[in-house]
Amino acid sequence: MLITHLYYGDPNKEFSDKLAETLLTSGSDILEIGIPYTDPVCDGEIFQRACKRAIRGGITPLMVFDGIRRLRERGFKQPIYLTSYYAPIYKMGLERFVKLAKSAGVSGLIIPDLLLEEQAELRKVIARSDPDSLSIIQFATVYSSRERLKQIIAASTSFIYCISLPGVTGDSGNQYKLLKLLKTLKSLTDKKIFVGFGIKSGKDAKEILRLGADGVIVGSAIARIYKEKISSPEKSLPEISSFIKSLKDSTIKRKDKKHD
Amino acid sequence: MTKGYFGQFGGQFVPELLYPALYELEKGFEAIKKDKSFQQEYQRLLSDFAGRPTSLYFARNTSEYLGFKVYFKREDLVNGGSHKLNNALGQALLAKYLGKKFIVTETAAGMHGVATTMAANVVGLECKVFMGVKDIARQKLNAEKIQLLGGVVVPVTRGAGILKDAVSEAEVSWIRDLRNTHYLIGSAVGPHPFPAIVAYFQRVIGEEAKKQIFEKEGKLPKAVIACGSGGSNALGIYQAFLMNKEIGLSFVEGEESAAFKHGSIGIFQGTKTYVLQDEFGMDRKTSSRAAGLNYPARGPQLAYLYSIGRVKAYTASDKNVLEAYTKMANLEGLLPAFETCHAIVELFKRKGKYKPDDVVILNFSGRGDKDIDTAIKLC
Repeated sequence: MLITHLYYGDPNKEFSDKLAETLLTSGSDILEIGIPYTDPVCDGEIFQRACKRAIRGGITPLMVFDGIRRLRERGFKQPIYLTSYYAPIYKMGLERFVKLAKSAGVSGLIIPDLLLEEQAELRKVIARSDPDSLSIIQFATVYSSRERLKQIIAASTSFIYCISLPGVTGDSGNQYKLLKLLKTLKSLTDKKIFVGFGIKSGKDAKEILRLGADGVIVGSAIARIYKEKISSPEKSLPEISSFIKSLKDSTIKRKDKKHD
Repeated sequence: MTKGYFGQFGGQFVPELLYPALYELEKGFEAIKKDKSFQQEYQRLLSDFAGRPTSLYFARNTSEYLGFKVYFKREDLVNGGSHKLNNALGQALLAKYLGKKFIVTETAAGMHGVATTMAANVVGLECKVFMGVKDIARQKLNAEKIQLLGGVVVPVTRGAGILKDAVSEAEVSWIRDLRNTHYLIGSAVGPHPFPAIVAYFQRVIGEEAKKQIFEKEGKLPKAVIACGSGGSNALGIYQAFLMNKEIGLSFVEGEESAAFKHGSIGIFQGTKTYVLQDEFGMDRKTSSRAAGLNYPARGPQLAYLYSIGRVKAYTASDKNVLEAYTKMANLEGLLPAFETCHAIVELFKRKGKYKPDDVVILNFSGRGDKDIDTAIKLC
């Protein structure tokens, strides 16, 4: 599986609409759309700048919901997950945020700074309508103990977002710890494990799938391509498209081998 | 009360990567409270290295001018020039207790950066200080002092290049090496257990002040005034007086970063508290000239005390702060930090508002050498 991430509104919503379409038509199985935030502590430099550009351009969370709604109207059926730090969710009001997400066609919420221990309130709000309609994605990390992984798995109602390294998006890391984490996760659950942070190429993706992951999440590597042409980012769409196709290729080949 | 909460304020709004570090820190914090050799070493450093107890100074000239008895709790006399060392020493020892090798921290005015570098040095740990590029320009002396003391200053360009951005960058550096690194947060902010840890190591201010005022006046003060943003010096002195409900606890924030006056409840840097924000929980613009107050959020415990009315909040503007700086220099021969001047502004506003025998304690949180350049330019 190939999952791609973009910060909506970087550098403007027109480009993000086109980028989302390019990602989905070039082979991304799942899309993550991020709400740009002023203090994105889990993000490396590339996404920090993406957030800054988007916010400077006037993007608000409401425009992100509109963007997702437009993708649905254009007939894209792939799962779309909404990524947001918790501050905007809390300030906008949990009820309102959940309602907006559901009506826009969001499949689940990825909240990088909401520990299991702080999720009760949001869970309660989601459960008030249809609890299965919106999942909260749980994170596993190379620092997680076996006991912690069990809690994470138990709370997970969708895929598990596995952070490949101790760092931020766009970092580089060593895969020794990741292998150990994936082995432990696989021994504890059949739930899908998607690995994100620091995946820069088809080669990285292939390697991570070989280690046992069910999918890879790619984000900063995409923004890295269009930031070079930020004044007319549309020009980078063909390059992004072929990058996604090559990533997709490396995720498919593994399956072929399995069937041999 | 839920774990890590003060009323509805506090909590742990952090990435999962930090979960084991906060868990370890919580356990370590509980352990050192009962650890005799830790406490002995902490007390030894507080007295012999930091220079505690600090004096409670009867400010005669100020008292005559205002018409009531004013005492300054002289935290500016702590080694390094502010109350920051109390917490830095405690946490550096805690880091050592947990087997860490490196300290990372952030600083705005530079006082906490200096204190942390000193504490890391005396305890035997390496220290890296993240500082916004704008703050480095404003507080050149302290940035240089940190390097002289063996610390490494890392300039932060992310965001607006101010304290909140330095916090994010320090946190990332922590995440990258949790096993060997302790993030020494300088104020009563951030995720649990940090606000509790900082309050614990700063409570010595109030404990001393309460004992000293009894010795000097044989009675309790009518009011205690402190400045702040996260609130470490304020909580440090308030804690001893919390149960004495008749004592007014006054907190002065910068008008240009007034999260109590202009903010609302939100999530910021790991905690639920009062923060300056727009309708989407973002856009935390602050412009206080006192770098140490230029933080868009208040600490969760302070937020709780404010929400229940135990602490009353006031503001002082950059303009009034400059007046207080020169006035204090003339009246008492003391140079307060711009941060401390905020509390002094509020003190001066109370001229004639108490009886001549009434006592007011002002927490004189730091000395103002670091602000001389700016003061000379503007006065």
